[in-house]
Amino acid sequence: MSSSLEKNMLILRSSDGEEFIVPEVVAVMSKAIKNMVEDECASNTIPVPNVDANILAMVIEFCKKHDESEAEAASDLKTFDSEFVNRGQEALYDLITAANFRDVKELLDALCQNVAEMIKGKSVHHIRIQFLGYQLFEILTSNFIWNIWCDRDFD
Amino acid sequence: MTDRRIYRRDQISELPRNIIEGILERMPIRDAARTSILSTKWRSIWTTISQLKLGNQFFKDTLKIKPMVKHELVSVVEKILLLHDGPIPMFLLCIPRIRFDCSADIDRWILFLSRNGIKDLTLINNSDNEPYKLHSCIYSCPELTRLELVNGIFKAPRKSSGFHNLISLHLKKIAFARNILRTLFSMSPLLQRLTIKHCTGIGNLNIQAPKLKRLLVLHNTEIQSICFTDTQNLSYITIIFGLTMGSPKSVKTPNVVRFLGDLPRIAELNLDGFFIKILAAGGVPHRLPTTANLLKTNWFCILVLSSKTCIIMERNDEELVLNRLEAPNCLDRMLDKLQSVKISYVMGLEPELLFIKLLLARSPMLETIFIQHSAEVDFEKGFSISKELARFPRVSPKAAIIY
Repeated sequence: MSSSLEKNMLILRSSDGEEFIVPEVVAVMSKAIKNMVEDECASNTIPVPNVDANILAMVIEFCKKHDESEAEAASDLKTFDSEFVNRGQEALYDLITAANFRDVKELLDALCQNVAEMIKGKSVHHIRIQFLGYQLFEILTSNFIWNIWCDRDFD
Repeated sequence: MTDRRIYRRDQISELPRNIIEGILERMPIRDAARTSILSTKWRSIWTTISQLKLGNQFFKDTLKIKPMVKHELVSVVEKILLLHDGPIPMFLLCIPRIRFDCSADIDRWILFLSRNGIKDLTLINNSDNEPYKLHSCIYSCPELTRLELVNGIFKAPRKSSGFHNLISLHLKKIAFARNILRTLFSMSPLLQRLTIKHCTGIGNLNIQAPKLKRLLVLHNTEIQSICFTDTQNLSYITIIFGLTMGSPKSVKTPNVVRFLGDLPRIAELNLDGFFIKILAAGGVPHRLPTTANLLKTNWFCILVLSSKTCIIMERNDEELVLNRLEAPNCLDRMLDKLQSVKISYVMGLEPELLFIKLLLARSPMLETIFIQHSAEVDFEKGFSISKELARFPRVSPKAAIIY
């Protein structure tokens, strides 16, 4: 397989063993991969542990878009970014972890912005339930106790 | 659905600290501070964020809750600064429209920041009272790389101090003391970007910065002369005087040849009509000396000097042509590579139409030419312009005029 590979292509292998052929310019948007390529410690296939095929495909899609559209209008890219990161919460955290671990700055920026938008202006209860995985029961009881306490206070 | 929600793990708190800080930096500081009551783990995270942005929105939100009186404003900023833990590399402060003077408080904050590793400082003063006089401790921030100041007064620094690491300097509505710009240049050796907007008291603008790459000079009053002495790296220039200046004769500049000769690396030039007039007043030679490095981009740049002369610069064959529009041999070569042209604010004046005619007649590869008339042109006038345009002969079979 590697013989048919062009010189400036790299193979990335996800944690569950799937392989992706990616142009080098796209792959080195990840600083971690860039360092590996520069130090020449990478053979043709670069293992990407901790990142499964699904997430890796998303990261590659993002990097490809950013690589292609360098000359394009910045506003277009921004819309793409905000649409790209608008995913389910599970995927969002996996993406953040992957972007942080592989050091892809543009993706990390877009993701952090997205989470910030999600938290902005929300009530504490809402953030606790939605993001911190607080149990609904806990909050209900604390609310309940708080209400009793308040009632007693005003009586 | 609810079941899944109850048993989900706390993903966001498990993220690495730098990510959480990154998220908090991207939301308004009020929201970031509110996260401190989420749980004990979150209590102190917001106090270590590296960017403090107290912008207009921040004060507007604060204003909504409490009537804005002096001690409220001062105490809210001071609380944030006191609670903060660790260095503050980036600080932004927009003083809202207030009637009282809080310059003594700002002095204190800047002094505090100068001891806490400030790198990027933005200070915007929107208040109605006097411009803020910048405290001299700003000159002793060793790590300062970017400074933006709106509505203030620059004082002369002490001799030993200076902006040793300053790369980017943006000044708006600043009153300069006499000759302070020369001192500014000499004490910021690494300066790469400079913006001077709506400033007064500049006098002689002598650009003397060997590392400077981008220069913006917009709508300033009281400029007596402009010259470039030590600018071998300057590549992007915008100089716009606007309509506030008096007669062109009151400003001194070098002539066109000297002007371009002083800028060996220039890639982009944006000059307004006023500046071009004063450049042209210095005499316009028939042919400019060839400057091989001029205009690095593959662009085609046209300076219209007064209404009858224009300079056409082409990168492709590295030759500058300068001619009178009306002369028959004006532009005697074909513009082989020109494909797209955009012309804005067309008033329908004779030289403008003449110029478009010339472009159409000399560009065999032309595909599109966008023409946008200025707001002053009414419907009737616009129609007569488009009629005129349709009449011009075109060399390129594909040329489309989009009006």
